[in-house]
Amino acid sequence: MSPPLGLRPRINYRRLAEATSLGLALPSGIAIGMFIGYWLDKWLKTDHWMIIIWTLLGVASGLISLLRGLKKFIRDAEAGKED
Amino acid sequence: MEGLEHTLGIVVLVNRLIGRPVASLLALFGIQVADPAHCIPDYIVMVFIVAVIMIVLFTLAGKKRDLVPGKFQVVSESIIRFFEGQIVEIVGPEGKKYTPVIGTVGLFIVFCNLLGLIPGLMSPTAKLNVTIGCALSVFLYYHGQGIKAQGLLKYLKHFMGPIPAIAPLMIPIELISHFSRVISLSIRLFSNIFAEEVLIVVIASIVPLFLPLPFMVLSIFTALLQAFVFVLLSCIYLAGAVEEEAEHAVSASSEAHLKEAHA
Repeated sequence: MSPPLGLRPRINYRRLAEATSLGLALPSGIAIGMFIGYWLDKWLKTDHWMIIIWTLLGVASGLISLLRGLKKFIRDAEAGKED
Repeated sequence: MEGLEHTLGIVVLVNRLIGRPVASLLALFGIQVADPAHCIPDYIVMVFIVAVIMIVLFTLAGKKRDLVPGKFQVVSESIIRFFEGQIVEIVGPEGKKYTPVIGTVGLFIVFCNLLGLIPGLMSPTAKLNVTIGCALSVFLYYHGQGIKAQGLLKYLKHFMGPIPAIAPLMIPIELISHFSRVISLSIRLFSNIFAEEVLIVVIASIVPLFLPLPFMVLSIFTALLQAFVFVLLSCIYLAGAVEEEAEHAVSASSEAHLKEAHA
């Protein structure tokens, strides 16, 4: 089963795809957190509390997904070194 | 974008033909459009063009199947085998059943991206609505397959994190990180294609002859690469949802993959 178009996995496009998602992990997490907070504020009529809490949760979530991705990268690099 | 774009001819034609019937159909559901004569936006027309192209091409490809394949069959088979190979490599051998959906989304994005190269047409993926639609369908699909593979309760357990004591904190965080995948998938595709379209428009408005050509060649590369990245990331998300021990299994498969790459 050889992929055509010269896109053999030797260059490891999978890590390229994961790397491009790392850059967007932090801002998109914050954006989603803010959006949920804004929406909950409107719904529950709790002015500004939800948006503060959920933005902080969004920052935490973005950082966690960033660190998870980085951890995978480091592990992959070390696995590559041992070979 | 008002200054840069003018309405495309085919969009004007479609609006003149079916604009008013569609507007009255929408009014039946209680949606009032501001301008009934121009109610169909350009990207919807383009999406329908892509859909018609794909239906015609792949109906033709599926109709005539020989044991000794012709040129057309070889190309279509190798495209499908390429998608299947990517999915099997990331999800594992049981992932073959996901080929139809992932392959359709991938080919749809390829055709959408490449449509912008034809003069008189535009890439529908240069509008955020289309890319969010693609990302949302992938999002719903991988969650659905995850629930189907593991059962609802067991799947929801993944959102609680490893320690039950901090589960109330982990659930919103995991929720946000899953929703942010939709944003990052759609924004990446949209921004790449949009930037490429604007670049070509700007270059063509400065020097209309020959200078846009290298950028158009570059945009073929971007179109294929972005569709490929979209497919790869959907496969990775699917693998994370379907596999039992997501972390461990992903690392094991990537180690096997690395060994294969070095061999």
